Amino acid sequence: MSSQSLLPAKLDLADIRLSRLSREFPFRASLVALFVLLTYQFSWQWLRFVTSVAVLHISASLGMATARVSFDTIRIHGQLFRVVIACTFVDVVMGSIPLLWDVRKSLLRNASRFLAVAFIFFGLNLVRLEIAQVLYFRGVPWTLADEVLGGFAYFAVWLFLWRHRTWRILREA
Amino acid sequence: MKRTPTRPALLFLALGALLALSSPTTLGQSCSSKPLEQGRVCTKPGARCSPPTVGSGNVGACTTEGMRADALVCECQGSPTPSYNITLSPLTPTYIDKDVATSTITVIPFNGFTGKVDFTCTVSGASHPAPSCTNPASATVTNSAATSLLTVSASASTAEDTYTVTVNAVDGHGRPPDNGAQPSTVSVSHVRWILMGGGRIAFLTFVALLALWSVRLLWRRNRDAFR
Repeated sequence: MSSQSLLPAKLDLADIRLSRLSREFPFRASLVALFVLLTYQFSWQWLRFVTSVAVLHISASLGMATARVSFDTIRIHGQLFRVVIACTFVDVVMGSIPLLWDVRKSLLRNASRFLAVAFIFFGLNLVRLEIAQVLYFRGVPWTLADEVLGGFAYFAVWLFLWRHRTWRILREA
Repeated sequence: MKRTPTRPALLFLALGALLALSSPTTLGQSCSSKPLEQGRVCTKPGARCSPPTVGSGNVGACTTEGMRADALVCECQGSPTPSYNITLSPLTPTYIDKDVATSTITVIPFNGFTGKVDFTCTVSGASHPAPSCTNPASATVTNSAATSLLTVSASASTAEDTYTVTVNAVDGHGRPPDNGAQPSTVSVSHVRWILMGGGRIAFLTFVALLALWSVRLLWRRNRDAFR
């Protein structure tokens, strides 16, 4: 996609008005919001359990004292951690569907692409959770270790989606 | 020449006759207790099933199944009696600190049961003070399952332990559920909780990064356009 065709020669932030937005982008953005809202209508217990299992095993392999407390709660070095929905990245994965969907490709190809991306995202999520654990137990405050790192992880996902997008933000000139 | 049975053969026949004539309940019967479908228990032939109201009749009788003395069945007789069971979903979250855990109580009607079901809850455990539970609101069954919400609360003074929360119910005629009182467990811990996963700060961090990225993108395109 050519970036030249999307923006005028002299660019001003004021030039980006709603009227210049492509119809596709607001539609996809609305679907993102809808998909994320729908995601939070379910408890995702199995995914929270799987995520906690993965974190538990990775932490144990790094030499941390771990124990399972309940399906979504683990104890690491005496500290209880509860895996909530946002921790599973399922909201990010589901919200990325409208941004990843290529209308020119078949349902099967879109679905297989989505599955591959979902695996990548879940892997990325486990990495960031484990980094957060390690940082936390090295004295970094949890807010910094988990939340700020989480923000960076979301941004990494955005960059991925931006690179692999098949839609335009602005109308063609 | 007429053949006559030999002595061992006669003994064998006599033993066979004895077995055939004897009551099945007197020889090797193991009918101490046999749990049956939907919680019915059969104790011995002729006895009443316990409880007798479950299933399709209001009177149950234990009988042997076919010729098998060890297979007791509970045959319910009479007209079906409206009845109900209750189920509890697991208390969520399973660990609480100074907050509440909730569970959904579902009333499952049988044989056209309708009416109001009142609930009571009790908390038991080895430690004190235990968390408290308020009696769940009554559920009214019309034609399908009805639900109510069980809430268990803990405070800073609640002792750390695992507690059993038992819910019982009675209908308008004072009858308990066929499956009896239902238990669930909840644990109290005052260790500081950490919720994993992105929260508000993660979102703000993302928005800040996105804003910086957008400005950079615009600046680069602006610069390229001038070249």
